[in-house]
Amino acid sequence: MSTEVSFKRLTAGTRLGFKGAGAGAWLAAQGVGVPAASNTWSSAAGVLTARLGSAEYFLAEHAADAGAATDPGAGSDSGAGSDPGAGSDSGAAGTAAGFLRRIAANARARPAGVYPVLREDWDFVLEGRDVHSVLAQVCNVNFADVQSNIQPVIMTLMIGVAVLVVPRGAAGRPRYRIWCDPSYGPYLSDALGTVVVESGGMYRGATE
Amino acid sequence: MMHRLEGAAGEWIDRSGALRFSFEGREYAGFPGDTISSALAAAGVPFLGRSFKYHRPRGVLSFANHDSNTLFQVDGVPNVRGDVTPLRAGMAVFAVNTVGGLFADRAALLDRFARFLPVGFYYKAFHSKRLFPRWERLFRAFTGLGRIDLNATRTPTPKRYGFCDVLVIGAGPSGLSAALSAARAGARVVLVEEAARPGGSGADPALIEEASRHSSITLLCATVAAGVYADRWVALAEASRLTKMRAAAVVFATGVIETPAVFRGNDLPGVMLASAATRLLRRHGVAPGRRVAVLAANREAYEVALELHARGVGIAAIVDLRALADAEEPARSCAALGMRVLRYHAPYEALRGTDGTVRALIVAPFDQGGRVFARALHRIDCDAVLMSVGWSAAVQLPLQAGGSVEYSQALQQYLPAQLPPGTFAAGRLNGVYDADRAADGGRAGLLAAAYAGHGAGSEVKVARSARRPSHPFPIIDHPAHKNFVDFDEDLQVKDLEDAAQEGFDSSELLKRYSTVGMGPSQGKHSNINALRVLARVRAVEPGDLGLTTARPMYHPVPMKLLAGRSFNAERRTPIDAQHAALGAVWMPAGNWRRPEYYARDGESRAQSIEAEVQAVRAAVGIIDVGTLGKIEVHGPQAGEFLERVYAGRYSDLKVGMSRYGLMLDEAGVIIDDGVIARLAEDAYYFSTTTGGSATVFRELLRLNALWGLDCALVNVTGHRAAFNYAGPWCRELLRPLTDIDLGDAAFPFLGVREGHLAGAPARLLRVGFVGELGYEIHVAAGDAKAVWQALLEAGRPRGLRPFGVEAQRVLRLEKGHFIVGQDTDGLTDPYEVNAMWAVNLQKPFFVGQRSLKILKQRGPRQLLVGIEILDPVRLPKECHLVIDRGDIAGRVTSVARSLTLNKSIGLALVTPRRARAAGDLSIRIEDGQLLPARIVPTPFYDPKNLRQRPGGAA
Repeated sequence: MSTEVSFKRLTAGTRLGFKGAGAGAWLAAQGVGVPAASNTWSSAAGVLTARLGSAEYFLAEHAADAGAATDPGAGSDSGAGSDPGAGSDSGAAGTAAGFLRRIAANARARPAGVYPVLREDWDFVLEGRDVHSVLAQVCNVNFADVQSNIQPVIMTLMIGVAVLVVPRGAAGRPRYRIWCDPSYGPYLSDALGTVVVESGGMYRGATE
Repeated sequence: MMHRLEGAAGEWIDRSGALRFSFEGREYAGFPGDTISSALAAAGVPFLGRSFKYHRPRGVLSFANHDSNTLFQVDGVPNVRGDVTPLRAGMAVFAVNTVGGLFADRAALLDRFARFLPVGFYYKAFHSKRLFPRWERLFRAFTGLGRIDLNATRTPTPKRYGFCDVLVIGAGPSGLSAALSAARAGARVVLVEEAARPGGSGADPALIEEASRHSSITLLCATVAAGVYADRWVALAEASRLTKMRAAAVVFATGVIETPAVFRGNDLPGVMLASAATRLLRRHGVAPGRRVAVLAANREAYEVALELHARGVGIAAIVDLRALADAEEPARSCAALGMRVLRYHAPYEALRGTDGTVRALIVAPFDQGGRVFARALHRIDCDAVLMSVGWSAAVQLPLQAGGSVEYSQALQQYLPAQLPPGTFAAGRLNGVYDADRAADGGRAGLLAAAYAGHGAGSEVKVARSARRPSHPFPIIDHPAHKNFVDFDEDLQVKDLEDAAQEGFDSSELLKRYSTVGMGPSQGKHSNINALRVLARVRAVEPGDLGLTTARPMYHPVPMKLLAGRSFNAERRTPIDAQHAALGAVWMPAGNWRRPEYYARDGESRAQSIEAEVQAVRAAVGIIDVGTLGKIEVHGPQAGEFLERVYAGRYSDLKVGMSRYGLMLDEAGVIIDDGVIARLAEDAYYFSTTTGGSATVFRELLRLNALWGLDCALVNVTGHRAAFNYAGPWCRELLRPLTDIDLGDAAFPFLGVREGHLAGAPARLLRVGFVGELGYEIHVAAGDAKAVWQALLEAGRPRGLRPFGVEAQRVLRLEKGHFIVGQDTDGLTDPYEVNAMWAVNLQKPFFVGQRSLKILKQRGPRQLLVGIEILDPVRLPKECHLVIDRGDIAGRVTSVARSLTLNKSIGLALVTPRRARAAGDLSIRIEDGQLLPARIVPTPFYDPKNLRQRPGGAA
């Protein structure tokens, strides 16, 4: 049986970050579905919201890994099985970007306790039946035992680089969305791509 | 002579095949399933290696993955362990550490001069500074274990993380039982075994079969547990991969390691551990000889005699060191078969035959005080001697895990005393021998599974062995010595006694002075006997001495496994490709790659750097400074936070202005610097050094958590790009690109403004590290390429050149700016670099403030001064020493040739006395010559800063 794992970089969609004691309430007031628990994610209207710790939030277009709008070769988002909101995400890409831009504009008014965080992260998807054999070579988190149903956000090191990982996908075909600091993007792309290829998988390199 | 026997059930070799290989240039053949050593032994090769120091011929000793006698160079690869390395067709095998080959080793002459090589001779030889180089060359020529091929290709090896509920180390009877009981309780088990197959010293085949087939057990053979780390991380070294296994619970079933009897000639080829003979016999069908003498101090000696007899090997005698040998099985069976058993006897000397292997064993009556009655010597003709006199418990891994051990007088071995939570011991390691091993493994497996959350554990108690498997002192003195304790390092009993007499009389000191236990076997066969010798010298028990500290790696691991794929987490700025297109020559800066300079056709490196400098001085230049740390701090107490972490004052900084910042540690030492800009009443943006950004941010997060101030830190280092656009033309060139008013009144020196540049949101800081009118332009990483390109295009008509790190270093040196980490060291404080202008001691508190007040009283250790090199041609290098009247008075920290100033300039840290005296000094360069130099004031260039403020506003 051949190895089934693929890794690709996504063309980055709109990403935003907020920090501060008032950030959660303010985002909720903006219509963002704010996760109730730390280190979990939620999805609504094509926007993925990851709560990082207690008072930091990362927002990204959820449809960015979904289809032609951002990556012509990416195919469909098979992760929809674990994400009830994702099924309609591809159609919501434009809406989501506009929504995020409005939030960014509103933040310029400097609401109390809300601090915008510039997010220029590189954005990847790693997926496939054998994805855990690849992850075991690059990260000390046991992703095979991660409970996807609680929608966890995993902040960890991957080959020496701080990453933010959102598990998705259905049973038997796990799928991980990975973001990293852009200055590490080329390295993570090449290094993880090398591991994927050496493991018999497919790698689509960095796009400019 | 060793030879191959007829086939038998259970052996590991495939006699239907043949593998041809060469050893020392001669052709041999073995079977698939052979190791290099077993194939050579079966072929009757009389000896397989040379000893490390005396170049004595050696044969198989332990055949247990730590046999230093059988290290080989195979197909160019050194340090190949012949006892475990599978034989392959076409292998070219050579002995290591020979001069002229194994069978004609010219260095064998050293054996006759052993008395001139006393213990600690390395230290004694190197004591003479004058003779040091000569000794070094000699030792390098005569020592070593193979040759490294410097042209060998790199072999990247994958590393991986593994996860399991229960990790069982050792797949002997107790380990197999532990794995099975844990798996049956519902645990996911990983079972590792360093041998090629499970079973250890003799497990029930049904047990092996069941464990091998169990769906919840992953069996990893030929795998060494090389190190145990905190929280039950265990390094597992396979042939081509390292696994970092995280286990919820660990069972140590590492067993015991057989140790030799120590007597004169115990290293002759043909003298080996009985367990080695057993492994050769069972796995590879190789007999240790045709007429074998067995040294006995335990039941296992009689068992091996019976096994050999059953395979047709003659038993010359069983020489039992004990006062009372076993009256029960298997000793009784040996007697019934007519084997000659000598009780109360010990080996006095093994005699060498003409072929270099053992031909006879001289034995004598032996009392429990370790004394041999040399007048009653008795000769036993034999061609092999098997030693079965004791065992050493493999306690190193439990010790690495944080456990402790105690010495059992009853068993004469160390036993685990206390183990950290989640770790368990089983089997012979635990003092449980014979058939009870499986029960003890089952008990440990259930406890481990319960710790991992599976099952209810076990209430079973398994008693430790009632018999004593190890002799307390199997060491026999001989006036002519050559009774080896450590075969790796050629250490005799007298060497250890001499070391103790010289004062190295603790286990740790003895190890370091004598090198016992520091060879390829890492003391597995020698440490316990060395302790016994030391204990006798000190008239104490071995248990009173303690073991040396157990550290990973427990077993030698190839460097390639540790290196893995050798990934290097290098950071790149968003315009990395643009730099490459411009001809960037890269250099590492922190964990970034940065252009050192931009190579151009027809220019040397020096010419390119000079041209880049001149572009900035005369027209305009641009440098990518996106590698600087870039941090924002928001919140009502953001100013208070900065007041505490930086030495200067920032609460009074006006919005829209910036100020230099110096960061100190608690000792008042400079650890970083940067520019702090105030964006709003409650928001600041500041930079750190390139190399310090990650460390500084971590420290700031820690301090913020500690202080609990109402502010939040945001690290945007990688998310923001930054360029320094500098030179007399820069303002004019920027004007068309931005909506920000660049006039001196609207945007004064040290101002910070936000607006747009080339259509992108941009933050501009008017600062000048390079000493010209300049702007730092900060934009989002995603906008970097467009902005960089616009700036290049704008500057091209004025002769803009991108400049690299080297040009920047020259430019800042001309201004006399110091670089943290280059012009400062790990002890430099602000007094020493004349930076007290950036410190406000009147503030209520900042990190390092208290120490600065103390340092002020003490006075500076050194002072940073500007220097001018008076030699017209030669330049010193950074770190060359400053010499004042023959004494060292400091060192050069920066130096460069300045085309602008038409002279060579630098910075140096010198003694305060020398700094205050000013005037001329000397700098010693590589060849010992002295270059004349002079202390001069800084800045060297534009001392009134008129270039940075051409409009005069401040």
